[in-house]
Amino acid sequence: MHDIVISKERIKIELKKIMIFFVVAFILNIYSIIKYNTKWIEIFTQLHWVMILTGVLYVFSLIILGIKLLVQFFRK
Amino acid sequence: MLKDKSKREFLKISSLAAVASLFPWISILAQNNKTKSPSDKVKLAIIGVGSRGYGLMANIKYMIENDSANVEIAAVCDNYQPHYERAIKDCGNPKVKAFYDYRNLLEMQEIDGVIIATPLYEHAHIAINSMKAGKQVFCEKSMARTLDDVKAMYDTHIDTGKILQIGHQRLFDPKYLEAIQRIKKGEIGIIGQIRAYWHRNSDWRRKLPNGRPDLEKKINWRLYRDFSAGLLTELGSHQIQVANWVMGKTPKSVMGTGSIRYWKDGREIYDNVSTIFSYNDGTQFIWDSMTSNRKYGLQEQIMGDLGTMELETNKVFMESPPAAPGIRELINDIEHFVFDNIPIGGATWVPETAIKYKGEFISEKWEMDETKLQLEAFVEYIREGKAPEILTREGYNASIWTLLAEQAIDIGKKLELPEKYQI
Repeated sequence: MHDIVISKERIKIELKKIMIFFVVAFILNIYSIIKYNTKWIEIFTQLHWVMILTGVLYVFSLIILGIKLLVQFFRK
Repeated sequence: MLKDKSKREFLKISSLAAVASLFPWISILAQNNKTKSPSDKVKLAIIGVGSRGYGLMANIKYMIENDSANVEIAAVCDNYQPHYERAIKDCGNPKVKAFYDYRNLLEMQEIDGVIIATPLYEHAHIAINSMKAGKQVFCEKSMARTLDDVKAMYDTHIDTGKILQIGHQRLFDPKYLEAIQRIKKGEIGIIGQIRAYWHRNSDWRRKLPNGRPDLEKKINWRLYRDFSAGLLTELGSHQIQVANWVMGKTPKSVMGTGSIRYWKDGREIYDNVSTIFSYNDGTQFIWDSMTSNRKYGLQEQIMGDLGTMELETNKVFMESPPAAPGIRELINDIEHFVFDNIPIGGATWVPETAIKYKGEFISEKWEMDETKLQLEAFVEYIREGKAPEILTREGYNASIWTLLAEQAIDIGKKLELPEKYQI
């Protein structure tokens, strides 16, 4: 059985993606505070939801990546 | 040093200024001007050691074992042999004196206070004779079987100056204390209606000893009119007390109806009762009880224009629930947008069914045994030599209005309290 090697480059890309999704989720939190006129302290108190949303977006991106790879595989 | 942590916490709360004005019977527990030194043992007697009396005895034993009160069960009394023997065996005091006749017990000079947990119809003469014999009295609710007996008990309490504490343990329940505090502050707004119910699905019978059908009325006294008003006195009096406490006054009138709908087994008391008590400000207290369905169990619902409190389950439901965090609302909206169906046809109005909102807890402090707390309070009051008058009045008003409700049901009329029973 072969070892799976994840390159430094790949890790950097994934970390960048997670950072981007975190920023997107953070902005969504700010947007929802404004839209629903709730308290600004939710920027901090709802960070757990921001984390969850980050995770959901990342998983979603992996699914899309998986589908893309599958399509490429069958086109060959 | 008290070993009982909950008692120490309770005393801490009882010393707060806000509690002093609203609940003098609680704040007095934190004061320290007792006529009897805490090192002197308070000697108690229990008259009636059936199911309830035995339970109270167990609470006192717990107090002794946990040093939460310097107290001793010095005497027990019951005229039913099995209860008499069980009490001697289980009271925790090998030197306990036991009696079949409470009058002999009252001759014991060293007894400071008596706890009366006999069947309802025996409360009045035992309590009156006890107070006249110089004993402080804790009597289980309801006070007595008739309006005149309730008044006679109250009058003896006034004449002798002896304590007459009635067993309405919710007056010592921390969640009720907090709820009442918040209601008085106006948190749930103007109260329009109080609803309370106590539903069970059982025949309420105790098993008779083999071959002793003659003991039916002695054992199952709750089911017979000479001895009890049934659901009203045994269950309803607690909830009528809570309604009066919330309102800070007594009702103006009562009407009701009752029937023997399900348990047609020779009982004389209703197994299905509904009553409405009206207060002079227009508030209605609706109380019902039945013994053939237990889905809704036991509850007191205090309904104001700003919110509802459900006291038994320690919940408050505001009419405008606090908004969810913005991000949760955004996620909900996205979910609805993606998954909701588009209705085609259907009802043109939204039915006013109950609001699906789980509410908040009224009190998150602790779970305490309010029965034990009220007995600890009784011991403290004995040391003090007196108890706050409001405690007796709460018991009096609950008992009087319970019995008046029974009369209203029996004659099918709306009744007001006759002047001679007003205190």
